Amino acid sequence: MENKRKMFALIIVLASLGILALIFTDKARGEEGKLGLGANWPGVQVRYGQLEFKVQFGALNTILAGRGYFPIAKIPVEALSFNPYWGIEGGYILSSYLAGGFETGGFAGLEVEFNKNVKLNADIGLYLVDVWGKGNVLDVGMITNLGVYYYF
Amino acid sequence: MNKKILILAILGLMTPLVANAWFNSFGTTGGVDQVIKKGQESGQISTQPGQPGGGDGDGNEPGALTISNVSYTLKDAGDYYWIDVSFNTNKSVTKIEVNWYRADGWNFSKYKNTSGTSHILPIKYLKPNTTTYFVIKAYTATENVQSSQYSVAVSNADSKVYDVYMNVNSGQVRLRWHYFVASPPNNFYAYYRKTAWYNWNAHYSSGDEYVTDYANIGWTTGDQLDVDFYNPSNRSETNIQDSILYGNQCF
Repeated sequence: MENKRKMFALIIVLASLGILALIFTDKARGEEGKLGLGANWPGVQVRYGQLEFKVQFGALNTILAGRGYFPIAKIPVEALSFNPYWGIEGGYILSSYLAGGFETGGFAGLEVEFNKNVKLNADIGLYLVDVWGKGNVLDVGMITNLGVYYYF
Repeated sequence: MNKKILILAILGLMTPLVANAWFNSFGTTGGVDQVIKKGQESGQISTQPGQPGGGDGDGNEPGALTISNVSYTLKDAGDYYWIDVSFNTNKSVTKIEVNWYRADGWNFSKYKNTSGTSHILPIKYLKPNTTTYFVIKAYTATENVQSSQYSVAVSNADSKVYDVYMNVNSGQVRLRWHYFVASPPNNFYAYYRKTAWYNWNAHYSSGDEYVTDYANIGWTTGDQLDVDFYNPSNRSETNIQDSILYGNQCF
């Protein structure tokens, strides 16, 4: 269990460094963060600039997770804009069946910008899930996420 | 960029080989649900909510609530004897309790709402020159267990306070105690504090027992009462200072 705590602490530290890097990258580019609220399947999220905090609700668990987005390009097509991106996610798993757990992964996806306020994104990525209770289960898989945002 | 994509592709192809079982999901929680279900099938994850450590009767540890590593040592606090009882439970509990009794028919109990698996619950104010028997009980939200009976032969020594307990009557309390001496004195001084210290009129009852008057302190849930009493002619051997939580009558 001590190793789990160390690993979780390491994830927190790395996530904090990632957040700082994203903030400084945003400022260096002169891109001010915009606040966006939205829904994902199955949960809700709040996004500021390239950083996101999301909550997802499953049948057996709830996840509190942070996401960092790295835009790749901005491709205008008539009234829309298609913005491919990649990113990382790390989250803590809450479940009455578990003593603890976390998930982390990397993803790539596409954001569709309908106008300056409404955006839709979908991404797919490789995720590592580690949960423990009586014993420990570590697994890897492919996860697709879908979100819709309203930016203020 | 091409090199990064190649590395990611190789990692992507390798991951199913190191994983227990590949999962595919729409939404992160769906993937985690799949991992939990696989863990339940393999016995690594509990099938009972609220019992992540097990206890679902499926034969996997820690299983049913148990008490272990019971340690008890008789100690002389100078003005009283006590047993330093410590023990472990195999899962986190909500309450622990100890019941102690003697061949003369006196019996006492105390409890503590707590959590965790490592516990200490001292038995205080034992009667000298007798044997005290005790059992330990532990509770979770759904289970309870009682230990075997243990016994401690308490030494024969003079000038000890013993059998300290409280009578409770509709928010009023009074303290009772005994003083193990050949010719007990007839006076004690006593004080109590719920929010501030007050004088507590104490007087001799019978035998070697003393008792205070009832104090109307509005004794209610969540309260703690501090008590302080001593015999002025032998204060160094009789000065008891202790605390008790609402719900208990013994210290």
